[in-house]
Order: sequence, then structure tokens, then C-alpha cells
Amino acid sequence: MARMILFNLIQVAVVMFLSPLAVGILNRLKERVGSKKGPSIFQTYRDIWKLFHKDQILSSESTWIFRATPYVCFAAPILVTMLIPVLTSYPLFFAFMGDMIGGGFVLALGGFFATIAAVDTANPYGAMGASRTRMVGFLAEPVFMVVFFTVCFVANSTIPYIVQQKWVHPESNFFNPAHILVAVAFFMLILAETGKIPVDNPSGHFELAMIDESKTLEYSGSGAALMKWAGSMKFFVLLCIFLNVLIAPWGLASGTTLSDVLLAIPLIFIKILIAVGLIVIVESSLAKLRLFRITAFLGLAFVVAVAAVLTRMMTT
Amino acid sequence: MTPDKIAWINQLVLLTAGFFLLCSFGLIAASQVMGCLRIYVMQSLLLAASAVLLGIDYHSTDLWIVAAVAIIAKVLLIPFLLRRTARQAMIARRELQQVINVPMSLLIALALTVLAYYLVGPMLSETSPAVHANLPIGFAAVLIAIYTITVRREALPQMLSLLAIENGAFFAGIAIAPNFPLIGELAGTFDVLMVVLTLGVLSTQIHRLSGSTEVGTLSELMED
Amino acid sequence: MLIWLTFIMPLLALVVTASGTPLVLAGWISAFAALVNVIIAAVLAAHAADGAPVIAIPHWLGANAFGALILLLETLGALTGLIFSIGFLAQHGTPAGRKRRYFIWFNLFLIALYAVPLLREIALVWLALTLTTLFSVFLVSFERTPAALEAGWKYALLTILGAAIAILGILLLYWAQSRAGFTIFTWGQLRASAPKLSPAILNIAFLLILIGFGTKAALIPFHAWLPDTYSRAPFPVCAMLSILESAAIPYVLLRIAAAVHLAPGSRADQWLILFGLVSAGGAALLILQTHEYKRLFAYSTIENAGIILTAGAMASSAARHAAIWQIISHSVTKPLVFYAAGIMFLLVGKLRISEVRGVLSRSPWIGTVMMAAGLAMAGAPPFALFLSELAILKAGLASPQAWAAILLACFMIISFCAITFHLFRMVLGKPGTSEATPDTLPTTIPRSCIAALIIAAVPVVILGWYIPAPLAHWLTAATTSLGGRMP
Repeated sequence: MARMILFNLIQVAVVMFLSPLAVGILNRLKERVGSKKGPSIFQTYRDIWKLFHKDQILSSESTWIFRATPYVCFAAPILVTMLIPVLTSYPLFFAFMGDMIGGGFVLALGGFFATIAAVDTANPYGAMGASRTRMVGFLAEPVFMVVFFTVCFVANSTIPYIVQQKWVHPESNFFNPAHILVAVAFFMLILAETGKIPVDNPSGHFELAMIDESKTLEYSGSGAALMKWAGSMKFFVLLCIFLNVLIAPWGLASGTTLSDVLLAIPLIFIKILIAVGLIVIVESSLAKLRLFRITAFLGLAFVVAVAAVLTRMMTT
Repeated sequence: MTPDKIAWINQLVLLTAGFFLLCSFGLIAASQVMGCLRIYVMQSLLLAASAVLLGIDYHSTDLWIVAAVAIIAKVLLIPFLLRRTARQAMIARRELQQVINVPMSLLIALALTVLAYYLVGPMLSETSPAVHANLPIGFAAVLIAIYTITVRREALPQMLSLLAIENGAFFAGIAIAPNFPLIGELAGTFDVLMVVLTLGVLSTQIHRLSGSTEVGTLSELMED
Repeated sequence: MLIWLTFIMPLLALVVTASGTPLVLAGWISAFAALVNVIIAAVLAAHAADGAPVIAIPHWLGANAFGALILLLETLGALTGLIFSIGFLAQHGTPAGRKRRYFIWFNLFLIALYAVPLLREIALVWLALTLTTLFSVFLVSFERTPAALEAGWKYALLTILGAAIAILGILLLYWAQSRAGFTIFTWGQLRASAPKLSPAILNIAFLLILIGFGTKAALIPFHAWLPDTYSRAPFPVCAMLSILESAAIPYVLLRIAAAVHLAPGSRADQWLILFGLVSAGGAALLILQTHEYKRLFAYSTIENAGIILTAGAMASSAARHAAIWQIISHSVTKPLVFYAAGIMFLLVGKLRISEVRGVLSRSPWIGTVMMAAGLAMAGAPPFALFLSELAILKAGLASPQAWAAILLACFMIISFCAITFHLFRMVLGKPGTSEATPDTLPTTIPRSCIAALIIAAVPVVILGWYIPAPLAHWLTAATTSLGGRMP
């Protein structure tokens, strides 16, 4: 029991402390692909460190929501981390608290707070970004639902630990079209949810064109640090769900000794790096879509997810 | 073959079917002519891949020839011919207009896919898994491509959707009729090449005469 | 050997035309080739009617009684069409190179058209039908005006779309056959295997084939391409397309239906009757409201295709006999109408009905010819269509589907009234002063056009009085080959 709690804490620690590294590597790789030198891969850590040591300035127009939001946003991915398989292929101590749908709700709660906090500041860019995020969000919502329904349909379960085993037993199941298509749809969702090209440009500095970034414009000091950290954790958690639950449980520790779990950390990180490489390829080869073409992008994701259900139907 | 190997092949057949369907959706959503062509080529590749897999499944060398012919004709020759006959329209880098916008079209295409399942449902009793995969998907691809023709306004995307119908028909065909006389498949391929040549030349003539290939806006012949 | 010669003749004409012979000579050589083909087709029909089909390659190439009869009609149309084209092109102001290509495409089109009734492998019949579209696209868009190109595009796009749907149906048909243990996919095998096929597959397959080829035959509601195509294509091309739509495609559909309806639970006949009635009725109404005389003729072709399919699907061999008779009489009448209209167009230079007035007073003989041809098309006595339509009604009323025959009669009456109404407005009356003949129009009508008109008129008039004994024999044999006994 105690060991399970320990593993769970290790899991949380991995997400908290490796996620800025993943984001740093992503940024560096993107710059390298663009023939630039790029910031150090540890730049995200430095940013967060620096921001924690700065004063926080609060708008006099804002309410408690603005102040509470960084903590909610920071807590949400940590809570989700406890539910999903990050390092182990068997459920850990807190995994009983919720299934994938529960995890989805918790993540959505963070997003919800970020949105109303952006409106709360009375900064016009914040409200604009919030409404755009909602637009992307409500287009992404049906895709999320269909993806989860498909997964549940295939695995007859909403527990991530059961789902991940389904894809590789027998091995040929890996190539089940429902599996591949769900993975593709979810990958498109990650791009949309974490504000990557082609939906949003994370490195853009033009407020009018921002979707995701404009919500955090008003934060400074530790608030900004928490939001930044929370953003990288959310990215990391979504990648973990994608890689460990929806792709395959390869690399996860199946043994219950501490060394097994520790060995899983580099393996998982390699998987994350592969996914990061994929995102770099997508981000470098595509252009950002016009705002009203985003519906087409997410519509395509929706169609892919429904196609997964349909192909599942033809195997029965 | 061992049961394990059969399971693998079945999964791969299903997978190609899934991606084949995606290509049909992509043909609706693509916003540039080159994109349409790339998706069409990809779809043809998937057709060939499916033919190879089914060739293993059914022990039919005919299907391998079909795959080879599909690759030569549709993956290599058609892009080449199109670049030769309709260069102007191919390289035009502008966004395509559609009568109905993309998300709506995609939803309609989904409805058509469900309709295809409904239509072929009664035929699927006592059939192999390959038929279960390819027949409804092929049907759906045909329906979606017909719909794509009606919403597209430009000449080349219309033509590529036309070719996609043929792809859909043969995608169903390789599963249900693996012994279909090879000559029939060759006839289909020959037909596709002729269609590309004819319509390519025709669209170039239209382009030369009216300065655009938006055949959807041609309405000189409306009955009043 | 004869069957091979059918393809060799237009091929030779093609080579001669392409090798740079003077254009008029090339045209006459093509026409001569068509004449030889008429004789070949007649000999083939005579042989095939005596019993066994004439076979060139087993399972691939051969002609049964019905096929040979269709071939005869096609060659007749080709003969007059080519002769008319010579004069039509002579006064047409296009560059010589394009006129040469016209003959090349025309001959290619003929090869594909002849192949339809001669091929025995169904997948190849499909290919031949598709090729007829592809080879005729540039004939349709011959004028190279934006409107003509648009017509050509619509024509190609929609008919190829139909062909692609049909191939899916053909593949399903083959699937049904191979599941029943048959591996050869010819007409004969289809017929032999039909009773053992699964009706679930067969019904969908037939429906797809009907929609696919129905698009090519412009059955309503798949006729979107037809009015535009006919209004822009040259007159002889319209004549050939009419034969394709009301002879070659009904031939294919009726042959497939004749086999498929042997399967238990098949709905082929009901569907044929449904589509046939919708086409006949819809076309009759479209004739009422049309504004161009070429479109009027086009709608009349749809109407006839509808009548033929309806009659061919009735559960009575007398009706089937009458349907084939209707194929014959329509295929000889429609070219005549287009040639007469072509000559009238040379006189007035207008396509809209409202702009053509008093043809009779401008040129008495052209007015008379137009009037006669128009009446022949409408189904008035003493012309070919009158007798065959009467036969259809008579057989239909005696068949179990008498209600369909009654509907057909109503449609025939509507279209008769509509056609004569438009016709009288064009031919009779006084020519308005405002629409005086433009200077650009030729004053003399080319002789070859008149020759084509006369040749085309002969069978229409003869068949209006009686059916010659050999033809009656061939007709009976064709009906028998569809599986009906003679009444």
C-alpha cells in the first residue's frame, strides 16, 4: 500500500519536473528546424524560476477568480496524473478516484477557470482569447466524447488501465483501425487543446492573433510561473494519455519493485520525445489556419473519430 | 496460414479500409488542387495495399497484378498526365470554393457512410472479414465521392472525385470479386486513364477560353 | 470474320482520315465504311436470327439476334450521320484541323458503339459504353465556344459518374455469380446462373446498374446533362447520341433485366417500369415547357427510352416484342428529325423555338420536311413510331401491367400534343420582319445533307406501312433471345 502511494508520488513528481523539459526540447527543436539556434532546452525551468522571484501585480478590477485560477490550473493536471498510467501498467493507489471521463472533467475544470479568469481581468485581449478558446473548445468537445466512446466501445471499459491492455492483446489488435484512427483523432485534439499550429501559434507575439496565450497575458510573478508550469504539465499529461492509454502501454513498468518503476522513467521520456518530434514536424510543415478554418480542422478530427466507431462496427 | 497470421492480415485489411475512408473525407476537406491530387494518390496506394493483402488472404496472384497496375496507373501516370494536360489548373495555389462549407460537408459524408452500412447490411451474411471491411467502405467511398462532385466547383477536384468513385468501386471489388476477370480490372484502369486525358484536355480548353476552371460558375446554359 | 470486319472498317476510315487525305474524301470514305458495316450487320442479323449466335471469340465477341439488330440500327445511323457531317462541316467556319479531328473522333466513337452489342463479357460492355462517352466528348464540344465546352464538361462528368456507379453494380453482380459457383461472366452464363443468385445482392446490383446506365441514357431524374449537351452538340452527333441512348443502353439494360428477373425475389422488372414511367412522364412534361427545338428532341429521346424500358419489362412477350420494335422505329426516326432540324438551322440560324417562325413560307420544301419529320417523331401515322407505339399499347393493355400501359398512353398523348404545338409554331405562321435571315447564313443547302435526309427517310416511311418479312423475322428472333416466346 505504502509502495503504491510512493509510486503515485513518483509519478506526480515525474510529471511536475520533466514537463518543462519536454516543452523546452520542443521549443529548441522547432527553432533548430527553422535553422535557428534556439533557446536552451532548460529555458522553461529558468523562466519559471525567474517568474517565481518577481513581484506579482494584480489588476484592481479583478476578483478572487483571477487569483485562484493559477492554483486550480496547477492542481488539475496533478490530479489527473494520479488517475492515469504514467509509469506503471497497473493501477496505483489513487487510480480508483476516477476513470478517463473523470480525468477529462478535471482537465476541463482547469480550462474553465483559465477562461473566466481571462475575462475577469477586463483586458480586452483576455476576453477575446477566452471566447476563441471556447470556440475551439466547444468544437473539440464532441471529438473528445466520440474518442472516449470509441475507446469504451472497443475495450468495454472506461478505466485507462484496462483500455491500454486491449490494444496489444493480441498483438495484431494494435493495427485495428479503430485504434489507429482514435489515436489520430486524439493527436489532432492535442494540437488544438495545447494551442499548437495549425490551430494556434504558441510562439506568436501578436495579441490579436492569439488564442491560448492571450488568456495569461495579465499574469505576472508567481501567477505567471504557475500558469506556465501548468501549461507544460497539461501538455505532458495529454501526451501521456495519448502515448500510454491510446497508443500502447509499451515501456510502462509492469513489475512492482522500485527499480522497475525508476527504469520506466527514461523509457516513458523517450516515448514523449518521439511524440514531441512528431509535433515539431507538424508545427514546422503546416501553416496556422485562419480562425474560421479551425472548424474544418476539428471537423476532420471528429470525422476521424466517428470513422473509428464505424470501422469498429464492421469487425463485429 | 496460421490463425495468428490470418488475424494480422485481417487487422491490416481493416486498417487500410479505415484509411481509405479517411481519404474520401480528405477529398472533401482538401482546400487546394494539389492537396486533392495527393489525397487521391494516397487513396490509390491504399487500394493497391489492400489488393496485396487480399491477394495473400485469398491466394490470388490476380490481385497482385491489380495492385501493380493500380500503382503504375494511378500513383505514377495520373499525376504525370495531369501535370502535362492541365498544368495551369494544377499549380494554381488558391483556396477552392465549395457550395457547402467543409464541416457541414464532413457531417453529410458521415451520414452517407452510415447509409452505406445500412445499404450493404443485408448482403453481408456469411461473408469473410475482408468483405465486411471493404464492401461497406467501398460503398461509402462511392457515395461520398458523388457528393464531393456535387459540392465542388472547380474542374480538377471534380475530376479527382470522379476517379475516387472508381477507386471506391474497385475497393469493394477486390474483396467481393477477387476472381473478377483480370481484363475487367484492366479495362477499369484503362478507362481511368482515358478519363484523365479527356477531362484534363477539356478543362485546359475551358481554362483557355474562359480564364478559369470554375466549372461550377458556368451557367450559360441554364434553362430559363 | 464479319464481326472483326465491323471494327476494321471504321479503323481503316480512321487511318485514312488521320493520314491527311482531303477532308471531303475522308468523309466519304468513312461513310463508305459505314455502308459496308450496314451490309455486314444485316448479314449478321440474318445469321443470328436463324438460331445460334454468331461467335467470333467464345465468351468474348459475338452477336446474338438482339445484338445484331442493335448493330444494324447503329450502322444505319452512322451511315446517315457521316454523310450529313460532310455537308455540315463544309459550310462550318472552323479550322480544317478541327474538322479532321471531328471525323477521327466520330470513327473512334463508332468503334466503341459497335462494340456494345458485340461484346459478350459484361465488364467489357461496360468499358465500351464508357468509351462511347469519352470519344464523343470532343464531338459534343466541337464548336469550342464556352457554352459548348460547358456542355461537353457536364456530359463527360455526369455520364462517367454513371459509369462508375454501374461498375459497382457489375462487380456485385459478379460477386453474386461467383458465390453461386459460376466464374465466367458472359451474357449466357448470367442467364444460366440467375435462378441461383442471392436476391439481396442482385437487387442492389441491378439498381446500381440501372442508375449508372440510366445516367448515361439520361433517364429522369438523372438527365441533368442532357438538355445542355443536345443544345450545343452538332446535329449528326445528336442523332448518334440518340441512338446510343434509346437503342444501345436499353439493349444492355433489357438483357441484364431479362437474366436477372429469373432470380426468385428479383425486383428488376418493377424498377425498370418505375424508371421507365417516370422518364416517359417527366419527359412529356419537359417537352411542354422547353424553349429550344434541339432540347425538345432530346426530351423526346428520353421519353422513348422510358417507353422502351417500361414495355420491355412488362410480363408479356408481346410487350417485349413491341419494345424492340419501338427501339427500331425510334432509332430510324430520330436521326431523320435531327437532319431535318439541321437543314432548318442552316436556313434560319436560330435555336430557340420562339425565334423560328414561318419556315414553310420561307422555304416550302424545308418546311414540309421538318413538318413530316416532326410528326414522325410525335408518333403520327403513317410513320414508323405510330405502328410500334400502337403495338406497345395493345400488348401492354393485355399484360398484367395494364395500368402502366394506360399511363404510357397518357404520356404519349401529352408529348404528341406538345411536340405538334411547338412544331406548328415553328413551321407555320409568318416570318417576322425583325428576324430576317442574317447574311452569314449559306443560301444553298449542301447536297450531302439532303442525301443523308433522303436515306434516313426511307426506313421511316417503309416501317410506317409494314415490317418487311426479314426484319419481322429478326425482330421475333431478338424477342426470343430475351426469353420471350412469340405471341
